[in-house]
Amino acid sequence: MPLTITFHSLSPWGERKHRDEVTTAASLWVLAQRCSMFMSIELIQLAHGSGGSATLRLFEQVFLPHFRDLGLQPDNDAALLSLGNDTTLAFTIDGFVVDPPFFPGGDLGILAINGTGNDLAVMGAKPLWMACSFIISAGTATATLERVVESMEHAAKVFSVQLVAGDTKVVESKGAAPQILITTAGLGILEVKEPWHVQRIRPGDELILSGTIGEHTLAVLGARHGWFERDPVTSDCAFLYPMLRKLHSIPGIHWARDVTRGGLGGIVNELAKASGYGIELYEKGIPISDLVASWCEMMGYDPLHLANEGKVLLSVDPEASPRVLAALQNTPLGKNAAPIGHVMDGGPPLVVLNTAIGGRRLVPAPSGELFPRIC
Amino acid sequence: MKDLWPILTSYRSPQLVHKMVHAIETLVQEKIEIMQVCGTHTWSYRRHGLDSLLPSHLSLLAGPGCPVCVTDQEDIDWVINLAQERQNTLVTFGDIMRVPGSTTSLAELRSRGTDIQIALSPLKALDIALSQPSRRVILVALGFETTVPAIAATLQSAHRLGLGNLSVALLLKQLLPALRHLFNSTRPDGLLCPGHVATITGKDAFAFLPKELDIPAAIAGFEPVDILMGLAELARQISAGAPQIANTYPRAVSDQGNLTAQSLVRSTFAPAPTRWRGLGTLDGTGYRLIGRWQRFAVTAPTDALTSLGTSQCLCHLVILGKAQPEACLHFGTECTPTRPLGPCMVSEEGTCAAHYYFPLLKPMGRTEA
Repeated sequence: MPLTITFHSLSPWGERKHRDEVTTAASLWVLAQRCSMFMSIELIQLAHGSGGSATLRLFEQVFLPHFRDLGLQPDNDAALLSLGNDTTLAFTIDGFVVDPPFFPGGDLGILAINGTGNDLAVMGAKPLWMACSFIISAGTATATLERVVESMEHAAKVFSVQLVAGDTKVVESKGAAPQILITTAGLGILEVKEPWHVQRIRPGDELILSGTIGEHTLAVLGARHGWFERDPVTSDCAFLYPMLRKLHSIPGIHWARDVTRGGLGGIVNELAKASGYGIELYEKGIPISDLVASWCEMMGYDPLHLANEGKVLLSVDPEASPRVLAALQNTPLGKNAAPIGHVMDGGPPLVVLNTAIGGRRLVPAPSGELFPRIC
Repeated sequence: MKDLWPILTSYRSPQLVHKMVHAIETLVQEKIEIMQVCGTHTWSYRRHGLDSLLPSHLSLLAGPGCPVCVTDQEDIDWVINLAQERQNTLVTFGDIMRVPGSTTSLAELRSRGTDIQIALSPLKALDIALSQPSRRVILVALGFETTVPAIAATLQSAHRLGLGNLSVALLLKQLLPALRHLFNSTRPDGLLCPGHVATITGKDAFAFLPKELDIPAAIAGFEPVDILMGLAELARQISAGAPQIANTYPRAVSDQGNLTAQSLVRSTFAPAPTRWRGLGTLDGTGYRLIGRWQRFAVTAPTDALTSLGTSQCLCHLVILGKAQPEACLHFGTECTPTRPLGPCMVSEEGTCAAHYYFPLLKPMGRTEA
């Protein structure tokens, strides 16, 4: 019989009225997440940029100790800055690098506009202004750079975003293939009465996902490795503001987040950690296309850990859920929106998945670089 | 490609799963231990939450079925040394990247700029060797009976192309003869046989398990219903006391196996002794290149390296079914998939990684504090 211990004794978030019982193994798992936080990072590896537990460790070890007293708002995609006259600004910054820079359904330039725009939109803000910085390695073809810049121009015009400032640096490529790194900072104005904020999440909230998962990572990997002689996967890269604007008038939306790096599995784990509540998901409810599911099976990837660039996860009051779902499904980007789970009453802040076959398991935070398997 | 998914989902039917679980519950009245000898079984079992559905007195032990996990520490160090030679470009499957050697790992070396390329197919090594004629391209050939034909095919193509700058570091292993050695010291109640290996070798190659060793055996596929069919068959054999070799994966596995692949392997390789983590050097469980193919071999030094070994973790016991990952002091604390101490925590097929990602979970009952 497995030794059952209460999570309560281990939990730094343990001041809740409820306590939950998990097996030793599950507790160990959480303990491991915390222990690994204290291990020093000697060398930055690709895994530290994957959006999983390694990224979190880098953030908590290197950045948080120095930036935490400077007004950092780490739990949301954008910082909210009140001007005191009923106007609240949303402010964010994001860096973009992708190999290859052009892939089915998108490119580096579109990502740089959409990614930053989406970080503002998921706060309930309208993205209005952006500034961009280019770091270009020597040897980059000017034609490639031009294509990227044209894409940015097009995306910014379509979505009425003004590109008001910019900067360019050129660095040595040091033997590696030439690359373009784009950083975009974005400024927007909050349009919802109460910002969609992680602190507003309540037990019982329903989680709604705006569409199918996994397309972006597969599109990029497929383009990189030349998998797509037939059945290419197209990235879901999209500007989310037009869809999210339709939700501004609906009360009861507590939190929203674009489901990017780290995938749905990564985002829900962050949600669990930031809110202190457990999360329950239903595998059957999670939208995924046959094509993506097939590729994932073939390559040994868990679709829950693949990045998306045009999907949003919302935590909403169960009473508001039908309205939110209907509003999403009425938009082109949200036509496959579906309820995928809910926020549990109390901790531990873990994610439990009810599998399609009727079993249960935990969903781990992704841990590093995605490596395809041997067999 | 997209047609794959609807086919797979038919093996994930909750109704079928429910029926199979019920059948197994009826058959398994006493404690039984079944060894699963393929990392993909371990992973699938946990990923679909099968452990939360099956009776607790049916326990699954891991066997030496993850190719990265059974690779000896000295061989890992050897590959790492090869990568560090300036003229070499190493081509490898992804799983081995994070395995810690005595001093560093391939992933760490790559971060420092060492030329290491990840391949999905060994054939990628051909493209690399062709496009970079000045580099010595070394393909790290790692895997079991399933992977061996693909390595043989790669070498035959390299020969046809007249490639002079491609070599292979042979770490290939034969699972079937290794099982004979393993069952001298471990005796599970039944063996869930690996469907991938059996696709190549055929069902008949597993017949020695019931005939000579008296162990019930079932070849199983990797979807939840496949695994349950294998387990149900084993439970039936165990309760009847009549060991057999059953094929519950007939959509992929035939009696004779893939004869083309087998003859390709025979014309390229001969059996040879090889080192296994936890088992030592075993006769006839590895491969050596024969005839004109010998020129492609990079040979592992037998005594030149001084490996520190991995006495610090229990991987060598985990892969033999002699310890569960949770029994290791380092499991989940110092040893995690991002910072693994041993190979079983690295590969998705590794038992420790499967147990780490998907810990056993009881229904989360709640009580008022």
